[in-house]
Amino acid sequence: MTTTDLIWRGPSGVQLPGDASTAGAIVPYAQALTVKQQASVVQAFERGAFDMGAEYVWRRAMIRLRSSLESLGTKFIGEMLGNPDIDEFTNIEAVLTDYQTITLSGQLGVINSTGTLKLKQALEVITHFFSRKAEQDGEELSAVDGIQIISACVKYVLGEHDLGVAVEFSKLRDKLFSTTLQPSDPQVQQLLSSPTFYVRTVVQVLLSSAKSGDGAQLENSLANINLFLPMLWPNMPETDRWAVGIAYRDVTSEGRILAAKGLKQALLKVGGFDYVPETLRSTTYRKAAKAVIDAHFNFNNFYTEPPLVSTLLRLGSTVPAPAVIDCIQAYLVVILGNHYGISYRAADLAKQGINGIAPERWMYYLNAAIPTDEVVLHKLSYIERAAGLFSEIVKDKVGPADRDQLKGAARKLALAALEGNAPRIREVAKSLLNKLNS
Amino acid sequence: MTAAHPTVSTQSLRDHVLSNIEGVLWRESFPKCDNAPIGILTIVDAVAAYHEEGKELYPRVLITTDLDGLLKSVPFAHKIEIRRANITSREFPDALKLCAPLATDGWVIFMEIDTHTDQIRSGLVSLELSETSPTFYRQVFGDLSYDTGIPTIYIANIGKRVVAIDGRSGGRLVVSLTLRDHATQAVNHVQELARVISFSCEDDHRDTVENFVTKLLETGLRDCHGALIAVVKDDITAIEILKNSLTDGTYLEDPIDTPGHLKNCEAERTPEAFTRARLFADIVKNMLSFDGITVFTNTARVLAYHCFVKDSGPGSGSTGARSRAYEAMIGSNIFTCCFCRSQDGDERIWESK
Repeated sequence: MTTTDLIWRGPSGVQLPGDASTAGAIVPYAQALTVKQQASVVQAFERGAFDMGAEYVWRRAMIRLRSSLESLGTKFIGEMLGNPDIDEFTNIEAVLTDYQTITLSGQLGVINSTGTLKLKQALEVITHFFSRKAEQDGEELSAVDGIQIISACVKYVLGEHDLGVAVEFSKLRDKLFSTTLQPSDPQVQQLLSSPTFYVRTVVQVLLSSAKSGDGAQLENSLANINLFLPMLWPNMPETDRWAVGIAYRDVTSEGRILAAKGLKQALLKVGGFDYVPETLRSTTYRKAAKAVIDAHFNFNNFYTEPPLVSTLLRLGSTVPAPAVIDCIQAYLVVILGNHYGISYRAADLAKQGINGIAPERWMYYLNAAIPTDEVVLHKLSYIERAAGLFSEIVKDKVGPADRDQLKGAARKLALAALEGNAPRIREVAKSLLNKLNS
Repeated sequence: MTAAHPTVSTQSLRDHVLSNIEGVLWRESFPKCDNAPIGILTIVDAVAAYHEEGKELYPRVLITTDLDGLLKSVPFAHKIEIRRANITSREFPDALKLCAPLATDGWVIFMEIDTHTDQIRSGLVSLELSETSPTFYRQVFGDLSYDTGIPTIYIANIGKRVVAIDGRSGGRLVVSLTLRDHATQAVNHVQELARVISFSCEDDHRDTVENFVTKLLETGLRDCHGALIAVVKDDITAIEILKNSLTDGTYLEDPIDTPGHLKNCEAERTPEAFTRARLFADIVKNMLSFDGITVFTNTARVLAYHCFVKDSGPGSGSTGARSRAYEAMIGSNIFTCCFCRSQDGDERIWESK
């Protein structure tokens, strides 16, 4: 592997003609669809059945992405998602949501960052127009929206001949499992100066091997964790530090002694035992929070969010430290909503949840988590109303005495929110988001 | 003419043990505390043969100067504080009496000495999250521990009226309250035995199985008065030879499949799966208490218990029946590994080359 091969990037998609604005112009580029399937989609659009055509293309795209991810092994996918219920016998079609599929595909280089963004935008459109609410309100998918959806699907998924995880990622993964890297390796140095996104993925890959690997793969993974962790720890996002602590707890609970020893050694080097959860309560909170976030990005979220937010709320306002970030993120995504609106019933419940969060926990989230919270930053960057809503929350939770506790990038964001400066909030959020991915 | 006074010489076992306990505390860097050595002595005396309401108990006692600091690197610890009092020599046995009946099933008694405040805090602590998590001893003293620099000792009954005091520095003081010739038990063979028992398990499960079997054997052997364990290769020929040679025994129609139960725990992650694993483990622990040999395969399945081998007779050199049986097991050439634990806590292990 050359020094330039470490950092993986997904393909930039097939080149569609700049003036391609009809299904007839775009769909022929979908190599993964048969001629008959292409013809059906074009006919659907010509007949005005834009929703049928768009949905069909969307489904085929998601199936293709999941098929690519499956090549890495469903157990690995489960580890990357932090879902222990996914194992080698799981049907990935049944458990992976569209949002998770797109996010993971972007993370593992099946699609590039632009493709990830475009497909997430398309997901938001399609989940809105296929929801009960849109049906009740008599809203229909327009030709423009339909073209937006099929354009993203064809360019980044269905137009590609071979769609698989980035070769560089596969090579890196193999190398992490098959050799013990040295500090002087150029790949190590390159990774240390990479954006958060890459570092996070490497840490997740190594932790997944620690939790389920064996033999030489396990030994190499543990050695590499012990190499990387002290170097990465000072700048490591809080969620990733918790991931290491939680992995240590899990392998110890399962009696995987070799893995427990290796992770313990790594945590000793960085003094990271504060990130080992004391009880299993945090697991319950995190699971409930993840359910809210999954529902938010899935179909009919207007209706599915309220009961799930209610479940999270009922667990109690004393959120265990390992679950604080996930819970606040869950509440925020519901309050900020998506491009099409907010589930107001869920948002009212989420506001109660935010109000119940202790001030020091909220400051912890602002300082340590929000600069790397891709989900919330994305909303603050691209959803018009989100900045204003965020500003209201911050004004409510951050008192004058707390301002001095705000640090770094979080300070800029929070101060903009306290001033009610929505454009500035968007600007800072976008800058933080770009820093994560480039 | 007056009668000569008889010569009286006194051998104080108490003073000898007390002096050794003081030595342990000094070696483990405990701060000076006048009442601690005597208090610990009374604990050792009690733990050697602890009975409560006619029932034998085997409480384990952890004595430290900073419990929270000691457990900082342990993933999970459940603590119940029972009492706080001034440090007196009386307080140690009083705390033991309150806690011992509760210190079963993974719970260990802790006593935290604070010489600054002259207070001792005592209660119960457990480090177990599931049936498969490592034992307390392994996490605090064994290969999963690390040197915190915090003075700590661990007191446990290891045989009939035999108590071991382990220090974090690695030293062990064995106090035998019998006058029998007792070989100092410095090495714990249980982990070695567990390794042999799980040797041929599947690669991705061996670690978990070995840990689980270690835990099962440690708790089972603690509660029994000596045991004989044999390991046989898990193949049809070896098992056939076993059954033909060792006819006096109770063979299970369906051997207890320990790795299978653990795989279910991992796959299902349900309370039912963990309960099932625990229930079968409880049976195996009880088998160890039976007279005779308990037979494992090298894939951690339990084949038989209450088995008897023809011993080589009194001329073999060994005096006890268990020791003679152990030698006969080795001489039979049926087993890949033989293990013997005497009532006094002496352990011996033999492995075929």
